[in-house]
Amino acid sequence: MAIQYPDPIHGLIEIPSRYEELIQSPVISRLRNVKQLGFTPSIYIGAVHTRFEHTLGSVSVLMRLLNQFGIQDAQVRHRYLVLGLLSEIGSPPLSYSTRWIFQIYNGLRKADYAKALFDTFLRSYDLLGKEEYEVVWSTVPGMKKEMWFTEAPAMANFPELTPLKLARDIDYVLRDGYYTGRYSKTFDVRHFLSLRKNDTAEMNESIQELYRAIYALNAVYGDKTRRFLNRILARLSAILIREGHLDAKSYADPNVFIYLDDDEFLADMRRAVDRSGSDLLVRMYSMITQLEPMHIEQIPFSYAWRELGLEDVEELIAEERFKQKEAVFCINDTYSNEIGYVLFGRHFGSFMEGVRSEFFSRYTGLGAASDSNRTGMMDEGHLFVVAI
Amino acid sequence: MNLQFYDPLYGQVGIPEAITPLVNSYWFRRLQYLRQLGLCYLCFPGGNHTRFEHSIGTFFLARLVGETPLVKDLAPQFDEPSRKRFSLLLQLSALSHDLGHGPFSHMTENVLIGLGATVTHEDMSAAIVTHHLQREFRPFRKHGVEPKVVGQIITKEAALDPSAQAAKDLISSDLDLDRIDYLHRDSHYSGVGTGRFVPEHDLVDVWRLRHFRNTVAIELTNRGIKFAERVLFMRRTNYQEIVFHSDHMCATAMFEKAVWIAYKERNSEFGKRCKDIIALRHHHWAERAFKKHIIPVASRLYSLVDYEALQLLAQASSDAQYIVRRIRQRSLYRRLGRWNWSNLHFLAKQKILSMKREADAFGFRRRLEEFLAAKVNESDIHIVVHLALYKHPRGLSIGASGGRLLEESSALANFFKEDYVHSYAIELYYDPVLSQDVQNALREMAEDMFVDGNIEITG
Repeated sequence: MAIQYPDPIHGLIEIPSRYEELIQSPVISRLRNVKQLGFTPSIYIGAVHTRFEHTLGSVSVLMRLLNQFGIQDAQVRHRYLVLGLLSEIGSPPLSYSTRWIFQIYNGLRKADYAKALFDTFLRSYDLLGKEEYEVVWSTVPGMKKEMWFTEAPAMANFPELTPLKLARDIDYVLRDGYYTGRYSKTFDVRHFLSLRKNDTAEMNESIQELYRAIYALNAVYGDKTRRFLNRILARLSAILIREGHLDAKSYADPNVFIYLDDDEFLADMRRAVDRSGSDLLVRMYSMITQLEPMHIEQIPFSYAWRELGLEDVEELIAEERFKQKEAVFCINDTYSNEIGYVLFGRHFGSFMEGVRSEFFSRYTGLGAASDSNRTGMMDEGHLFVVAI
Repeated sequence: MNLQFYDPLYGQVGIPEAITPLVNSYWFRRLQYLRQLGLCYLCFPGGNHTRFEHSIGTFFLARLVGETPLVKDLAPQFDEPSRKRFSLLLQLSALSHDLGHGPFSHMTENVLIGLGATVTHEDMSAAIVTHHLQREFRPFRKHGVEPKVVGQIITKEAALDPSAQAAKDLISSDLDLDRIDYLHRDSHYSGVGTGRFVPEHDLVDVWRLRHFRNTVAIELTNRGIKFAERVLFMRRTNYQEIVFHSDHMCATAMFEKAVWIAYKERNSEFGKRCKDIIALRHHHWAERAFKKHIIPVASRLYSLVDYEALQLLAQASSDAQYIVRRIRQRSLYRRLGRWNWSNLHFLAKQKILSMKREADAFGFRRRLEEFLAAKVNESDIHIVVHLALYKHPRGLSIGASGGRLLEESSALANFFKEDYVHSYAIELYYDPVLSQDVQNALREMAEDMFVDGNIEITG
């Protein structure tokens, strides 16, 4: 028996019914209300898909990947399925948009939240043996590299790839493309999954196709409005925490975190904003929830700013031009230099490690990204400014 | 700066500068937090789309149709200003047709109307446009577009001038752009159904303007008749595969039950707000009384978004909280049985046919649940009933009012007219906490009632 989920991307997703209880547990149910792309629907109005769908989609690809590599061992399959299902449970509300609070301020990674949730709520489900438990949570992506995968000749070029990462990347590129309406079907998943495991050249080509598709989706991930909204949310939460209206440390508690979906989180912010009674904060809050359009101004980069970070520049512009503190937000115009981050940064340690250009060229088959934009602040080009 | 959205179905959708304030208004942005299909996301994980994108999509289609040269070419007395006005009316009513939806749109509304409320979401949309969005509509006054006319288009009022009448036929008739967009969107997001189409190709040469008894009316062309048949078919499959999906019907029935429990509860905030709406006396939405008395009262419930409504509902009583918790965690009730039209007893068929609206069905279902629960000595929160009620668009006219009917020109439309009753079904769900004996007793009783006709149907 299997539970079936109709899915617009993979057709019918069938998951063995022994996982039904896990999928219906509050830990995974929470993901039904966590948007995959945070604030992106302000521009790509259809991108309201959730981490829940993404979880199911990843598991569906993962199962087919196991078939492709001929893994029949029930124990191994079980472990992978559980890991696939648990791979998103640590997603904070609004996904990467709340990175500032959940990851930078609280200093916890997605895997840490996942582990805390697992320990608090899923221990009694009897999912993983003691030894497996250690294996699962000992690595950051939540998956130890398996011999069957790394020893396949086709994977020699991509030693960083784990089966779960590959499955998740395949699913998210298809899903984000489908729901934003941009670059959908840029990657042929059925072709990839029909390749034989020792068909090295074809598989290499196919994986590079996948990462080129992710690179193309930078038009969505690098959308200016979306980046501004993320920035506004970061500033808003920083001010609320500083003035003591928002107790963000409590979010580290799994008993609180398990109820934090998008709606709950925004309602929490709303209460904090009401407590502060500041007009500026109310305005910021309404910008992120009503998704008001913003007037984006483009200004040339000044030579005097070359040593400064983005926050300092924001402060300078705010004082010089608007005479109001904390009401100005800036982003730079080279999001593409974060490609390394999009591809690998979040799976492989730091941003700087991610942008190393050898990754980029190896994984996409395109020329290496230039070195000049590697440091945090660029020294030429334009800044985009929004004042509220 | 021009507002640009990107829609997964139609690509880039630019919002003209004059319309931007409407799209940015509180009333419109609120739709971002209302899911188009209510609780459908529980059984179709992809069904998360919102009324906001649906309105933007309908607007896109309205602009496409309003500016098609084929519409412009016919009806020569339809001069430039009236064309402009027609196009504007079409776009504005497409954007504002869903403004009045409350949380879980039709689900909440069915309960309230079933309990005797007179305010519908169309009234609310029209009233919001007329009373709250006057500033946003000011730029269009010079083209003769008044908020009140848009309200009349949304509420399907008769006696409109030619261009408003034409816009009405395209926005709120049985074959309208609203429906075409939602069929497409539901299919796209759920991954089932047959609603997909290509607007730039399929919507060309479907409608034309025509002289009709001193006025101008919209009618379907020959190509349009084929398209209408296709829409009837899309509607049939989408209803059967998405709306009448067992889990969706169960979740809907559970939610409606929670609303009913909250309504009965003496001190619940949610119930109070419902009662206030039901107690309202009927006024026409354009009257000042509507603005003064009805909107403030109705808004207390209708301006909530899905999430706030669930939260408020959970506070109503422990029973309501129980159901809301089960909905949130998607541990829905299980299906005890489904009785399709062909299996039903004559009396049951009569009963279903006598129900004109979804709202009538609510009262029937509620009494049935209470009856069944009393027979097995259980609380009625553990048993829910839902009906698959599918209304065939009767008298789909292809001319203006009084023109020929679609059935006269299309054999397929005739077939659908005969076919719709076969979609009717009764479904019964039980809470797994009920014991096996109780489940068996319930099943037997339901068989007796629906199939054999031994027990008279209550309700």
